[in-house]
Amino acid sequence: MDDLSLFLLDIVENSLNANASMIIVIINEDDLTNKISITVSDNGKGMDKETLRKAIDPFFTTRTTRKVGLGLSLLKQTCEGCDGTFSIDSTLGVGTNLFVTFRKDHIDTPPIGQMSESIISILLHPRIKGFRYKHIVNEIEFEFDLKEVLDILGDVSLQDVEVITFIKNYIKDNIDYIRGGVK
Amino acid sequence: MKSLEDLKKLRDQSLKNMTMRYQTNGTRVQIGMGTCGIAAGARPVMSKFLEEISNRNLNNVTVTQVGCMGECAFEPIVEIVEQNGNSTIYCLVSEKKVAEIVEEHIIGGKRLERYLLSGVKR
Repeated sequence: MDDLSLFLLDIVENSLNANASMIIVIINEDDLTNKISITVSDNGKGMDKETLRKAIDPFFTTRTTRKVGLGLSLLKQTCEGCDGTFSIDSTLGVGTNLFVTFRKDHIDTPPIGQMSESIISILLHPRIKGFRYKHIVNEIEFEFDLKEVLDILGDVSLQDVEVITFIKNYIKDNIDYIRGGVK
Repeated sequence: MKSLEDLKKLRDQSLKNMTMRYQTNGTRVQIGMGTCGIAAGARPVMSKFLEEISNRNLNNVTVTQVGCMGECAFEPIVEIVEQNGNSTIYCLVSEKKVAEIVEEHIIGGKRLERYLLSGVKR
């Protein structure tokens, strides 16, 4: 994975596959603490202790289409290699919370990447129901709530190409704006 | 900078031509977005499909994503499901191939045999 937006897409795919009806993502880039943190919380089916223990094992997956589950193990390896932290907790039937940090000025910390493209990919999942995204850069925030968009759209599909292109540009403009001063 | 007010305006202006929720007719483009697909470049492929479809004003085509299709070595994988239910699976799809698939298959109705998973995997 070349950048953090691709990691985020991969993590949220896990939430969607766990039938989460609400997924909350918070990205925080902070110069003062020299940290980038990513939080992903979902109300999906969750994992028991044994499954959670195995979740970061690259040779474990609950999927039936293939026998490896590289996503979380790659993320753990990447953030720990950048003086960051990795933590995941989950409760069966309640949901999963993932929290990772990276040292912002570490040479191996991946760039943020195209978050708007990852969010669009998430929104085009047929089972997406609730999705909230908050991006904070040095205490300046941008928030996106899928519910707000669906309320505006009414009977119009989120998958309409004109709509999804608009949302992509809207998210990109706002993230570029709050990241304008990022070194 | 765009705001959600602009989305309301867009909805009101283009409502007649927009795809409605639960609409089942038209062509569906499904892109494999498992870890394997993401790592192989499925996201830019999805963006390119959206761009091509938007640029050509194809109102009856929707793009959606699915999980791992079980053929990780051949990602990015794209399935085109036509209105009549016919399904075609393309593999190792690049941004360059997207324009050809849109032009020849989605618009022209002709499968691109050279990119089919069934052909490449043989």
